[in-house]
Amino acid sequence: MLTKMYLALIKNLTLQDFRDRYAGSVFGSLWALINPIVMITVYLLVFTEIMGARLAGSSSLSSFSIFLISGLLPWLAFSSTLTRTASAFQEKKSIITKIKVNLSFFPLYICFSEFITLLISVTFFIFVYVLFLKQDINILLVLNLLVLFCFQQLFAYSLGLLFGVLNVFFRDIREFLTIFMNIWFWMTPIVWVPSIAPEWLQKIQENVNIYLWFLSEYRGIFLEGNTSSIENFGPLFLLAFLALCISLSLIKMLEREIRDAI
Amino acid sequence: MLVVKNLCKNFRLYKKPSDRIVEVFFRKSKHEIFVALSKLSFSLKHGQSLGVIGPNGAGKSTLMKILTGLLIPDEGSVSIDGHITGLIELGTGFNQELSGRENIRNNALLLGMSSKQFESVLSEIISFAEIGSYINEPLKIYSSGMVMRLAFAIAIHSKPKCFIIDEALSVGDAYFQQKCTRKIMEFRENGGSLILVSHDMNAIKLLCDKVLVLNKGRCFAIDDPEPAVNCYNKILAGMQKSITLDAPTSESGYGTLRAEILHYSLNGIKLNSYDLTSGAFVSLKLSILARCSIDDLVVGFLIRDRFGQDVFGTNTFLDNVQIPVTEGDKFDVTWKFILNLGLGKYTITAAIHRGPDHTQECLHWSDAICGFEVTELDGKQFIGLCRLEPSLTIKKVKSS
Repeated sequence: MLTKMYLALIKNLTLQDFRDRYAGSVFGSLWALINPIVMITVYLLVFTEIMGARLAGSSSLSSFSIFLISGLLPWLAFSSTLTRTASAFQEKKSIITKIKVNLSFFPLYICFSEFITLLISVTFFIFVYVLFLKQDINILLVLNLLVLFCFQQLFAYSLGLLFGVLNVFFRDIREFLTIFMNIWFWMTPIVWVPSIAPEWLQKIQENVNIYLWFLSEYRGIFLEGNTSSIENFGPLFLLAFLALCISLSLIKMLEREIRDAI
Repeated sequence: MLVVKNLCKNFRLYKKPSDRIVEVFFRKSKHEIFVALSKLSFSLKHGQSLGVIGPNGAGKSTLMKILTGLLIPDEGSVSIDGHITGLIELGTGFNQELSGRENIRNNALLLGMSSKQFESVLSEIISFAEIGSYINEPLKIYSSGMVMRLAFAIAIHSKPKCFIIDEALSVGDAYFQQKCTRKIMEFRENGGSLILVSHDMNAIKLLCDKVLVLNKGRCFAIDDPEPAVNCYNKILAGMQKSITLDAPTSESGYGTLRAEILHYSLNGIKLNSYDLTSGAFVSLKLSILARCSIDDLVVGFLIRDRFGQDVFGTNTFLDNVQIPVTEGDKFDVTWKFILNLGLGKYTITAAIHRGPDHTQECLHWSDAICGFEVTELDGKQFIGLCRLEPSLTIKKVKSS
C-alpha cells in the first residue's frame, strides 16, 4: 500500500520533471526527443564527414563517432543524475519542509527522468547505428546494455545521495561537484582515445577511474559486439549496491540533523 | 488516535551549517541548545479536537512539525493511527506554469492520495474551491485567494483522519472562511480529529473540545477551552514586567494588582448569578482601589456568551473618559444600559488596565466575576444574541 503510493508519487514527479523542464514551450516534451537527435546528428556529421576522424587500426570512417557517442550518451546521464541528486534536498526544500517524504527515495525521480532521457537518445543512436552506419546489434547486446545502464544509474544515484547529504551541511559541495565532474569527464577517455594518452595516465585510469569500468563495457558492445562477462558484471553490481548501502545508512544516521538543517 | 509521550525537542544552534556535521563525526560540541519542547505529553481520541495556543515561540509550530513527521524528536514518542494532513502543507509543490487540474493532481499525490482516489474527488475539489472554468488555465493567472481556496480544498478532501490547521484559517474572504469553517465542522461530525493552532481565541472556543496551552516549550495546561484561554491570557499578562507589590492575589483574577477591583454589583446587589430579562434596565457597578498613582487607568467589562465568545465589551478608554487616580483612592465606576441580549447564559468579565487594552499593563483582570441568564424577552420577540430594533416598512411597488 505504502510502496504503491510511493511509486505513484515518484512516477508523477518523474513526469513532472519533464513537464517542468519544458513547461510553457510550444513543443513541450518533444524537446526531450529533439535535443539528442540533433546532438547525435551533429557529432556524426562533424567527426565523420568533416574531420574524417578514425580510430587507430580501424578503416571505418564512422568508428570514431561510434566510439565518442557510445561513451558520451551514458556519461551525460551519469553526470546529470549525480549532480542533480546531490542538490535535490536543497531544490525540493519547499516540499521536504512541508510534507513528510522519505529522504532516501524521494529524489529517485531524477534517476528515472535521466534514465528515460538516456533511453531516448540511445534508441535513436541504435537506429542510426543499424540503418546508416550498417552495423549489427542483437537483442542480447541491447539487454546487456540495459542492465549496465541500470547499474550505472543506481551508482550515480547513490553517489548523488551521498553528496546530497553533505550538501545540506556544506553548501560548497554543489560548486565543487560541478568542477569535479568536469575534471572527471576530461580525465576519462570519452572524447580522446586511450592509446594517445601518456603511460602514467593510462595506469591511473585502469586503477582509479571507476567510470572506465562502465565505459569499456559500452565500447565493447558498440565497437566489438561483445557481451559483458560475469567477471565484469559482478564488480559493477557490487559497486552500485555498496554505494547504495553506504548512502542509505548515512541518511538513516543523519536524518534528524538533515531535517533540522534544511 | 494520537498519543504523545514525554516529547522533547532541542534545536542545536550552530554558527555555520558545517559545524553540525563536524560534530557528528568528531564528537566535539559546537552548538548552543535551544529547548523547543520539553517533556510534553497528551493524547487525542478519534473525533476529538484539540486547540493549541501559546505566545510566540512557545513551540506550537515545532510540535506540529513533529506530529506531521517533518522533524524528528530527540526523546519521547508520537504514535499515530491513521493519516495526518495539515494546512501547514497548504499548496506545497504548486507550479505556476501548470494548470489548476495538474496542480491538484501533484498536490494530491504528495498528500498521499492514490490516482483512483484523486479521480473520485477531483470534481468535488473543483466545485468546493469555486475555480470553475479556470481549472484548465495555468496557476499564474489565478488570484491569490483562488490559490488558497484550491489548496484548502485539496487538503480537506485528502480524507485525513486528523487535520492540522496551523494559523491558516484566514483563507480568502469572509464568505470562503465561513465555508471552510462549515467544512471543518462537517469533517468533525464525520468523526475526524482536528488540531487547531491559532491566536484567534474565538475560533479556538468554537472548534475545540480541549485546549493545550504551551509556554516556553512546556505544557502549561490542558483544559476546556474557556479556562484554557483564560490561562493563556494570564501568560500574556505575566509577560509584562510585573511590578510585584507583595499584595495578596485576589481570589479570582490576576494582574499586577497596583489597582484592584474590590467589589461588584448588578442592579445594586452582589450575587454569583442573576436572572435577567431582555430589554430590562441594568446597572453594573465596579468598586476600585488604587494602590498607587496611575494616570492612564482604564476600567472595562466584557459580556461573553456560553461558548465564551465575546458578545459586548467596553471600557473607559473607548468612552474617552480619563480617570486620574492617586495612591489610596477608592472609586466606583457604574455603567447603565438596556440589556438588549437574546435568551441564554452569559458571564461578565471585569478588568482594569493601563492604555487601550490589557497588553500594556494588566492591573487586574477578573474572568467571569458573575454569570447571568436571560430568561425572558420583554417586548417584541426576536431571534439570536442581540436585539437590533430595526424599523420595518413594506411598500407595494407593483400590483398584479
